[in-house]
Amino acid sequence: MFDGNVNEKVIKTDIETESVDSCLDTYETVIGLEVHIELATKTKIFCSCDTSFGGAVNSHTCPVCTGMPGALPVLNKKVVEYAIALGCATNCEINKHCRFDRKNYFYPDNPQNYQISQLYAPICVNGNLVIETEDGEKTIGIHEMHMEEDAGKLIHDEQENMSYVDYNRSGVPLIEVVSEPDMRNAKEVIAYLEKLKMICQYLEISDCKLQEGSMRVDVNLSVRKCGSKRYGTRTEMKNLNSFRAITNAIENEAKRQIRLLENGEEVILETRRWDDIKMESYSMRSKEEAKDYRYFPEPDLVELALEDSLIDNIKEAQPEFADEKRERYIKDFELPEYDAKLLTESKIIAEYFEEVAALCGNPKKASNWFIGEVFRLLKDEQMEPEDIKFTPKYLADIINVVSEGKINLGNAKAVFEEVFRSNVEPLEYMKKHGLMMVSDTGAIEAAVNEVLAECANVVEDYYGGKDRAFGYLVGQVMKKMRGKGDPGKVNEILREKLER
Amino acid sequence: MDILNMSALELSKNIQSGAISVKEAVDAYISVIEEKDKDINTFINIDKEALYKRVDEVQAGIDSGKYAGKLVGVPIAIKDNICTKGIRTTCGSKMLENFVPTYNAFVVEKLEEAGLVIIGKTNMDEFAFGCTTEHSAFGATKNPVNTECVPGGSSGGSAAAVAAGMVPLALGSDTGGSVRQPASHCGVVGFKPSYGSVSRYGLVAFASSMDQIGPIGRNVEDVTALFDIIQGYDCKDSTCVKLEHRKKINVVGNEKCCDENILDELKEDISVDLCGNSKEDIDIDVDNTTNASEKIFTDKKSIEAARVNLNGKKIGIPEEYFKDGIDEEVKNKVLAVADELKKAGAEVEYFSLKLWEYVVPTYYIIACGEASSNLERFDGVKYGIRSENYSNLDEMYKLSRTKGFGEEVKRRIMLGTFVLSEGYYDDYYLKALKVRNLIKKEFDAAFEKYDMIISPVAPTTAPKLRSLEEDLSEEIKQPGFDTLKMYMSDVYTVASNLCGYPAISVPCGSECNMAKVSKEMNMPVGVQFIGKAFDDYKIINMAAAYEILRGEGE
Amino acid sequence: MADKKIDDTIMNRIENLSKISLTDEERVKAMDEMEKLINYVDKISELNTDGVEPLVNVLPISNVLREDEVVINDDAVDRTIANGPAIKDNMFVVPKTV
Repeated sequence: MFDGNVNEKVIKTDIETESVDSCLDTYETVIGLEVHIELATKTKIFCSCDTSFGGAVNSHTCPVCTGMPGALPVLNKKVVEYAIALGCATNCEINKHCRFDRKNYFYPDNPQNYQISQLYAPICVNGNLVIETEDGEKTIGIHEMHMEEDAGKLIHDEQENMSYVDYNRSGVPLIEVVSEPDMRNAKEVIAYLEKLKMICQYLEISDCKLQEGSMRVDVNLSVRKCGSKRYGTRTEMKNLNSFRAITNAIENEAKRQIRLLENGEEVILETRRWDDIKMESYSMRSKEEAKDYRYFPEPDLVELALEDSLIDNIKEAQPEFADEKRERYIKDFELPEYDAKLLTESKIIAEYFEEVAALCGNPKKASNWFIGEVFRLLKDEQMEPEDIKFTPKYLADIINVVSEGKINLGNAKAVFEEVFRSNVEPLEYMKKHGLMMVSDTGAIEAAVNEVLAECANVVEDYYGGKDRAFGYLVGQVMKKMRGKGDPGKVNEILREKLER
Repeated sequence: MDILNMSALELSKNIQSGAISVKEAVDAYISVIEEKDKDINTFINIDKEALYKRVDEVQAGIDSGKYAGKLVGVPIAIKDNICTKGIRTTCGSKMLENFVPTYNAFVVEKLEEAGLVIIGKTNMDEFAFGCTTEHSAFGATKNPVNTECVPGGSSGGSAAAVAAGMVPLALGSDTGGSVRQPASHCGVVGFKPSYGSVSRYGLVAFASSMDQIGPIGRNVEDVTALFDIIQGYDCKDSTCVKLEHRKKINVVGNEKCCDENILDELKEDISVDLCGNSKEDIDIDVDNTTNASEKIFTDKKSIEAARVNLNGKKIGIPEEYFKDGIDEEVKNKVLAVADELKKAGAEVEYFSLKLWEYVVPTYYIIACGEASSNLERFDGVKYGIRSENYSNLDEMYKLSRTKGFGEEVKRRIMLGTFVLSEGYYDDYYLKALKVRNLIKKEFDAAFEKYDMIISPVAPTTAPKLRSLEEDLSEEIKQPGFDTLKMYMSDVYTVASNLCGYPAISVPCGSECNMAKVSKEMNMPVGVQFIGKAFDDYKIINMAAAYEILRGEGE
Repeated sequence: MADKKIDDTIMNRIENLSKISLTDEERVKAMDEMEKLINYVDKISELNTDGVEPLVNVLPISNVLREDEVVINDDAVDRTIANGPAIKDNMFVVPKTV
């Protein structure tokens, strides 16, 4: 993935949209993905350097991750555990005898000029993911998953015509997930990526952020005439930094290939770079002949012998995933499927929700609050689920006082906003700001008496049999009490006085 | 007191008792170096300022009772491919002529903890590729026994330094015989430990699956004392084996070690205690094996003790090793050792190593393949020389590497690149790994029958300087050039590296004794004792017993 | 010996992959020597290795793993760049890569 010596060359893609569009339907797009997932371990894969982002350049380095002579790699246990966990969650077979291989190529971000990766015996093989799109469910095969080390960062100086190397990222652990060419359109690709991301987040092995590079996606795409069994020549697309860019690139590349074929030209097996601003891709043709990575077994590391017991332990420790949670919410909480789906998209949200539901004893109400209020506030504040800081009990308390009629919904929502933003104790807050319902009979009676005195003509109407008059009087009492009167009590006392 | 003629162990005793100061010892050896090294060229670098600072530090440590051990205060030379913090480490290459590591190799840390004094860094074939110490960017080292001859290599500087009396002890590295062969050519003792005994951390890698650091000294006892210090578990080298696992592997043997249960056991142990180098580990290893060597060393002069040690031992001699291409003189001397051992009560017999002809080709493929990858890091980006006048990245790489590497290094990198490249990997590299398995099986089967194998170290005594290359350039042009001959010099030593066995080279011919050196005398010959994995102390014992039987000085 | 294994195409490839360039004279010599070496090591092709596992590590040890605990290196930056032939702002300088 970190190929060197690229000689970028612009390929004109003046697609004659109409002629291509007319034959689009006769082609099928075939897509396979290579996804690099940066693992959220504390240390690098082969040394004890800090993986955290944002240190001064070259400050998270040691002889191992800078390729110093005589330095040797030692494998981080967590990386193996995370890889097995992801393998188990995607129905992979775990390779019981797996080892690392060296991938040799010269590039300055790669300090040893070989990357320690896995080719001959990757840790996970033959898995799958079930995705869901508007066309229904589909199983996407996972060819293999392997562990490898990340490269350093290159910073380019246009003026000086130089590049600078920072090795802080060198040796950060990655899992590369290689799918089968089972996807047929951008929607399936996005569904696959969402699913993979969700699993990683549920396993807490990576935050999978495309924009920040903790998830990197290369799209292998080819086209073929519908009905054909043979795969066409594929291209590999890089530099896809958002789901939108992936969608754009897939649609553009499929059209580009179809156009080539329709014009009697050939698709060239090559790596291309997507430019999401110009909405076109460039060939990254290497100056040299085809790559030859000279893979061979890494002699500095010993084999991993992964017994069933170890794999079983990791399997047992796996969390309840989104699909299972969704079913449980529908079955046990009697939530609509729509609610269950939204609530389980993020493990953090799901866990918050479950806690609130348990504390307030009413899953449906809790669900309404999450889908209505929590999601709205997250969006307004541009926050991620992991940024949520309110105490679950506080939301449960709000739900309960609303149920008990002690606050009106509008005020309750306003209180929750405060809870969401600064985690204030809601009951104290309501009292302090006088937002609780008034159920004190004396106060209500006083208000009713005032209204009856002020609205003598409406009272007349009431006695005259106008039904709406009662409602009006209730409204006036509530208005006088600034909305805090307990509606039941207000009704009761008003009727009592009128009937007397 | 005659500092220069003391064994390393005697010298340390005298230093620790206060009879000799560390400075006196170092001064004595420095004066030998200053006198002789102009002719022999063993040292690439001696940093006197750092050296005498270290002398004071060690002396202060001794005076305050900081150190305990057998080699406290002893000067030692280190091969220049072992990283020393703050001291230039060149690997005998122009590529690293200015490289100053910011870290110590594990063995250097061990030496410092044990109170030894590193005198300097010794010459070697560039990146350890070679067997004469002529392929160094810092000039050839000469054999102190006869300066017209090579000292062997690649640890020629270390072996020559010991042989010339410039240091009592040295460290070398051995990937295909690079400690044993120069020891044999210089008439000193050289030991290649079992793979996994000594941490490779900080040893600039040649072939990772075969490299081991090994001690060189004047006698087996000194070498053993140094081995005691440098061996041990190191969590920074994944291929360095914990001591309790060494015992298991040694007892159970490789075949049975592949048994799932054993692997389970090993695995559990490893996962329970990931990085501890506990005292218990040491104790486990010290039991019968070391005690046995203690015994024979304390009864040093006792021929009786030597006989007891050898009596009933089964010793195998590969018959193919004595058929062709070996000098009569070497053959006779090695076979005389077999007779000596037999007289002491050992059972000696010939056996056939059917795969012997495949050993060197297999070794070359694996060693060059690994080396081509290990040396990729020398690219002029992070350290090492960077060529000027490049116009792009690719040119910078090519010019820097072409300028920094010598001819032999380039040749091996290119061969290694070839055997790993697409279309050739299966037939060469992968095939060699499979043949390696077959070779190991054949040797393991021999060790089912024998306590050790004895063999020559090299087919000839030390050749004349440049002779190998001159012969090669002439002969290679001949249509019927016998490539085999060229690599026969490795045939006896590389099997131990391919299979990870411990092997020791002990002088068995004209032993080096500087008082007797003359141009007319015969060049030294060494005999090699090879044991199965982690039989390090067992073969050391037998080597010590043989040394006693042989007698001092001959 | 009839078919040359090391021809110009292969030699070009090897030079490119290993980032070593030889002069014409060196190249002729190197090709000749490599041809001979390859023919020599070709000897292993005589052996039948069907079903034989490749032996990478000679020792039957497995699962050598490290705990995920950060070790902070003092002066990591200074140590890392100490031997750099070209340094700017604590980074290694190389010819532009893109």
